[in-house]
Amino acid sequence: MTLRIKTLLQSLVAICALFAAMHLLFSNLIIEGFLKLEQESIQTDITRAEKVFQDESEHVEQKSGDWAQWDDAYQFAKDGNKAFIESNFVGGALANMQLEFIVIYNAKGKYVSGIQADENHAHIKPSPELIALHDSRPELFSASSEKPIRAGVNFPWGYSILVLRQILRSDGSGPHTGYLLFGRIVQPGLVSSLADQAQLNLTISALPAERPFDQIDSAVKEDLASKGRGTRIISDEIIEGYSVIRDVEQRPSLLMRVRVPRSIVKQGYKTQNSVLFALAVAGLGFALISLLTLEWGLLRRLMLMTRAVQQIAAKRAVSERLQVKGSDELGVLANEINRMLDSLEQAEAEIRAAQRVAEEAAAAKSLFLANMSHELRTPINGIVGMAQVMLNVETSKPRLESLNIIKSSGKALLELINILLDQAKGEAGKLELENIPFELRALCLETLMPLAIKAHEKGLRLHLAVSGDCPEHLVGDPLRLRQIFTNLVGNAIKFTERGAVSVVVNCLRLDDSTCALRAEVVDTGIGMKAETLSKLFTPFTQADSSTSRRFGGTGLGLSISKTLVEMMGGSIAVESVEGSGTTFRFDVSLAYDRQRATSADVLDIDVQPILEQDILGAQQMAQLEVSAVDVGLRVLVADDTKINQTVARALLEQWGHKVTLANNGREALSALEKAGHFSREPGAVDRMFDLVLMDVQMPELDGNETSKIIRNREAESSRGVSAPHVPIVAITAHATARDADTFVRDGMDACLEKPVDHEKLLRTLQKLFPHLGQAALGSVSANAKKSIRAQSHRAFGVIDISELFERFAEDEDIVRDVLGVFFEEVPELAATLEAAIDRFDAGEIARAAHALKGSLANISAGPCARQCACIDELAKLDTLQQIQDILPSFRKELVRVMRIVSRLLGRPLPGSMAAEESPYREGLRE
Amino acid sequence: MGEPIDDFNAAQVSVLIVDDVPSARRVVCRLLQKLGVQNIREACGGEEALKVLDQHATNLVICDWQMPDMQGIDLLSKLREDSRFSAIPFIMITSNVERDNVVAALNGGASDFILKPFNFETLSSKIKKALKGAPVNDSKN
Repeated sequence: MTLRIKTLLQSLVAICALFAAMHLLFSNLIIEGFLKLEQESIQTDITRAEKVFQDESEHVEQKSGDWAQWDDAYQFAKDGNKAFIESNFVGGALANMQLEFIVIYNAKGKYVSGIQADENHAHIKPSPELIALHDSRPELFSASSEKPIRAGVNFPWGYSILVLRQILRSDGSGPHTGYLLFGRIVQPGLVSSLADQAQLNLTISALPAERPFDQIDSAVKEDLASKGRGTRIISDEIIEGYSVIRDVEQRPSLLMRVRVPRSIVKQGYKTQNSVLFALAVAGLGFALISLLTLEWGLLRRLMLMTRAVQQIAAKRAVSERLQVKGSDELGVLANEINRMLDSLEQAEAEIRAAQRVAEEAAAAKSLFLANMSHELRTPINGIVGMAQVMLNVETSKPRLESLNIIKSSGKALLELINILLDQAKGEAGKLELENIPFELRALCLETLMPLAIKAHEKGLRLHLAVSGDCPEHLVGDPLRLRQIFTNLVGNAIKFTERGAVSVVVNCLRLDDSTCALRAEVVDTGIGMKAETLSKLFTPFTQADSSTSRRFGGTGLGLSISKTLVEMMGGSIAVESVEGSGTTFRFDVSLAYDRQRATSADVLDIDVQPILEQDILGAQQMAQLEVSAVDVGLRVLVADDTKINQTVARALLEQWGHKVTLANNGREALSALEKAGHFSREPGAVDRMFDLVLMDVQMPELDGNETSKIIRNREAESSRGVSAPHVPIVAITAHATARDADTFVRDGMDACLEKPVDHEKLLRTLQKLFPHLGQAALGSVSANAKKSIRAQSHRAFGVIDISELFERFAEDEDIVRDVLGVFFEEVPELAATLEAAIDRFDAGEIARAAHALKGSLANISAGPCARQCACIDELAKLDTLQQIQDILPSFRKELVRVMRIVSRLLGRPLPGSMAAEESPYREGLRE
Repeated sequence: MGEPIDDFNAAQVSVLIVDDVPSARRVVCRLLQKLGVQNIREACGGEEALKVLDQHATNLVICDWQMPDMQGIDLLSKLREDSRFSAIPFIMITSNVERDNVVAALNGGASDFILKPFNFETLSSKIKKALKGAPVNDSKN
């Protein structure tokens, strides 16, 4: 309710109260007054009526005076002469004199003569009561001796006004000869005459002789009885006044009544109403004026101020201020509000500044994260990469163990760093999800296979079930999904001692473009208490403090998983019964490729731990049997970081490829130039590089720029013929979809994400050189150690494995060791021999052949050793030509030996033997 | 098959292997290790062998007959000339072809020879013999 309405209502209430009060007051005062006036008026009227009545008697008395002092009458009283009667008691005499009877008595009171009027105003003889008046009322006669007496007397015919006096002579001398009686009867005629005289509504009624006031209204009775007067309010219009007329015996005889309209009181009420009306009007007027004044002086300003403040509040326009008008409370209020707006404005500015600082800090943090990510990963990649390189050539068991520890520690460290960085990115809101196509079942299998090993070790079953209604070809971030699965399944395995861990994937909902998948990881492990469940997804906490001691871990995995799941538009939940097991459940929404959504398989298998060695061992053997060509690629590696260079080179050379290094774009371009890429020389093809690995982030001339230049120059030098397009692989720290576009745009053929490990590299090589087998490009695992003895059949005719073992006391370790040393020394020994042969130095040839022969004999490679011995002999005999003759077959045999040893050891052939210029190349070609 | 050398504590024996071919050295080394010998040094030629002998006390030298820079026989002579090393037992590794020459050359000096390719038993017994101190001119193998 607004102030306006409030004030209005208050004023109305006040007015009503005033009204009521005034009403009360006036009805008391004014009306009282008017009533009093009325009373006075009516009393006056009564008095007047009484006077009129009295006047009448006086009148009669006066009239009697004429006859009472009259000689004629004097005489008549004595003798009663007829002459008098005839002249004075004529018809109409009474009417003229307005009397009802005249009677003359003699001095003794005896009737002489008289007249009385009847109803018709005719004269009749006076009534007997009149005639015998002296008898009935002698006191009247005696009382009228000196003066006339007036008396009201009740006669049978009614109340009459009597005047009785002595008749005297005209000069007033006596003695009296008789008495004169004049009489007026109170009758309607008289009454109306009186009424006229009094100008009043006058009536006279006779009172009963007995108990005269009995019939009278109780309101007036007392007054009449005591005061002889009374008033009575008959109605709002009429008020009556009463007066009692007594007779000569003072008995109430007549009741005189005046009826007066209550005009006074009516006037009083009218006045009251007018006053009240005037009051009301005045009051309203006053209220109006005061409201208006209030409105103008206060409410309007208040309302304007309120509106202004509301606007400021709605728009949050803290820079606006109120207008300050006047110095009263409203003005003060406006001032204070302005002051508050001042501090709000300031606070807002401070907040904005703080926000800016926070944003900058967050940006700095993100940048730091990004850089740190790169900075941390590079050296670890070096550690892991180098460990891998050394593992590929190491045979000594203790050293292998140490290297494996280094490698797995490095990988664990990398994983830890990834987890920490993910957590930090998640907190900073910087985690990004990829949107790339992947295959669901393949992903699940790949993810679970390494975990199967751990499960197997603990004697647990690892089960995977994917329902048939889940589409196979999805679009999302497979890496992150893998991360989530690995986290959940890894935890399940970690906390389960017996039973099984099951991964179940179902499709909840499928619409045109997305599917809602539900994945559940169910274990029969130790379970968790209810309190633990609530803390699970908070970072840095684990089930309880003993968990980290017993089971290790960072406590971040679930937090990151939750963040990732939620970024995929899903939710994650957990149920657990302590001692029974735990179920983790997460739902995600993923887009799927409708075009390829054929009905997919139901996958329902126990995931067996397939050891890498087994897969790859079998693959390798198969490949090697088919005998791909051990082709070494010529690779140009352009990278400004020494570690990355070293790792790439080590990997590639292990695989039998030849590596040239370039430190930056310029060096890369000049290396390509030197190799004849842009020259269109016919023979250049032999020198040119087969592949360029281009680090994208290089100073001065980065990977993209260099690639662009290479393509441009290739196009220029082509001259209409198809240009030799050298495959370029971008090596980058971040492989986002956007970056991939720029690589393609700048002419690169593939991209690898750092850190580069041998699996990724091998896969890329396979993609770019599909016609070459995996073994040609590189063996993936160097640790596929199948027992040498088991493969002895492969060496048949080349190396006598059983003799080998016999000589070395059946110790496979020693056999392997010696084979390894042999494998390493042969290239050099062979090179020395070749060099000596080139120089036609018989002595040298002999020595070199002897050494090589001894080496071959050491590993029971009989046939080759014998051929070598031949060379030795021939050299001693200085028949160099014959050496040339047997050289090709010797080379072939040597290569054969090397290949076998390579297989036995699971190591790639040395690059020098596989190199283009190596004379053994030919041998390899077969 | 691998009995520790009786009469001697294999752990205390120090052996020097001289051969220019690494795999040959490795074979002898591993077999010695199998016998329980821990203190094994290698030299890829005569010159290096002399340096090693200079610096480290050695109980036995096993040397290849045919080496590029210094022949085995030459090394043996040098050792016999040096009073410090003359008493050290010496085993020459040789192939059957040179056998006669070797036998002849080995006269004088606590030396033996072993034909290659040799096996563990042979090496083992030759070493024991050599370390027992008796100079042997055993043509039996």
